[in-house]
Amino acid sequence: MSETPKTPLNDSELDAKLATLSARIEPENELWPQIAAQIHVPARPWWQAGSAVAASLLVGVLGITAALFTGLQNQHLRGEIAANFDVRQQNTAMMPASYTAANAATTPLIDQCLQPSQAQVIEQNLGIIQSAINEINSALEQAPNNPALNKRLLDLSKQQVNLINRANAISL
Amino acid sequence: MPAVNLSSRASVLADKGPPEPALDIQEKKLVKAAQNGDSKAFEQLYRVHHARVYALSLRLCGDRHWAEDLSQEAFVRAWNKLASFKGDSQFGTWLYRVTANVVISNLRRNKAKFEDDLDSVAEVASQAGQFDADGDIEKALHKLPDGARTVLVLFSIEGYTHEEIASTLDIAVGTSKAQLHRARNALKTWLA
Repeated sequence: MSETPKTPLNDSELDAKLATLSARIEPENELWPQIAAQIHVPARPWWQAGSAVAASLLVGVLGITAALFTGLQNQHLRGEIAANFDVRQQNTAMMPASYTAANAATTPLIDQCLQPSQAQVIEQNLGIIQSAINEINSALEQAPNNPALNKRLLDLSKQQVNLINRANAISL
Repeated sequence: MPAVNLSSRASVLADKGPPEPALDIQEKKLVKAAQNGDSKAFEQLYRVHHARVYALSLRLCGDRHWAEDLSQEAFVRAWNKLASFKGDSQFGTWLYRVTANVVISNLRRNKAKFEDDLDSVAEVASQAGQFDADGDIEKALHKLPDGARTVLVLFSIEGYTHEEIASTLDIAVGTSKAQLHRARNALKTWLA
């Protein structure tokens, strides 16, 4: 006895079948970890990223301070340095404005510990970096969430730290 | 032969429907945060949409492991293109378009032919007696050749128009309609 051929579905029946499809199918594996590893997270805003840089800068600047305390006999100079890093300033030294101010106050002290030619080069470079930081800060007032500007600010702050650290090493 | 209802648009998915207004507002906040670089917000968007993205990837490519890779690639692509999402449509709609483009470009790189397999659809349909889908429409979908399956999924499940399919797959509108016609006829036989 031959099997009766099946009658194909009509359009409505097929559409009804398609309607049973679930929109969601769970994958067997968790996909997020690999996605998270591949996505690029833009630079954080300066008020977040700046604290890490400020911490590094503070270490660098305090290193200079320590070197000056141990290496210099000038009581007047020690008094000036101490005034720049009193307790109140250390409490706010994690703010970009504060480490910039600390840097500005410390630069003349670095000058006294270096050869004039060395101090001139360092001052020039610090001035260039500070000008660029000022320009970026102005631009950030218009576009505070701009990732490229925040990244550039972060990079410049790192350059500032590196330069002070190098000056510190030379002065020792 | 009864005419195939080419205008029978899907939106047919069992649990597909407009999002709740509260969820919509929450999603907009998450999208905005993700656009500002918040990967945690993007992870929450992933939690909401990953199963839908995976389902689309799986139905287009037909392989579970490959569908996982493609889903990951789709989310990475979406993250990189988030700035281009202006909120003119639902985030999900935009994300599924990104997913479809990722899968189709991968299928194309793997020599999938969206235009030239009309004969193979007819051939597969003619072998219906040798294939039993047990009424399982997912199984039947996977049996379709790449081109026919892609057109059917995009038109009948994802709600693309033939013009959009033709543009996405770089085929003629007539080819898209013919692929759909043959795919539906094959499914009607297999699922009888």
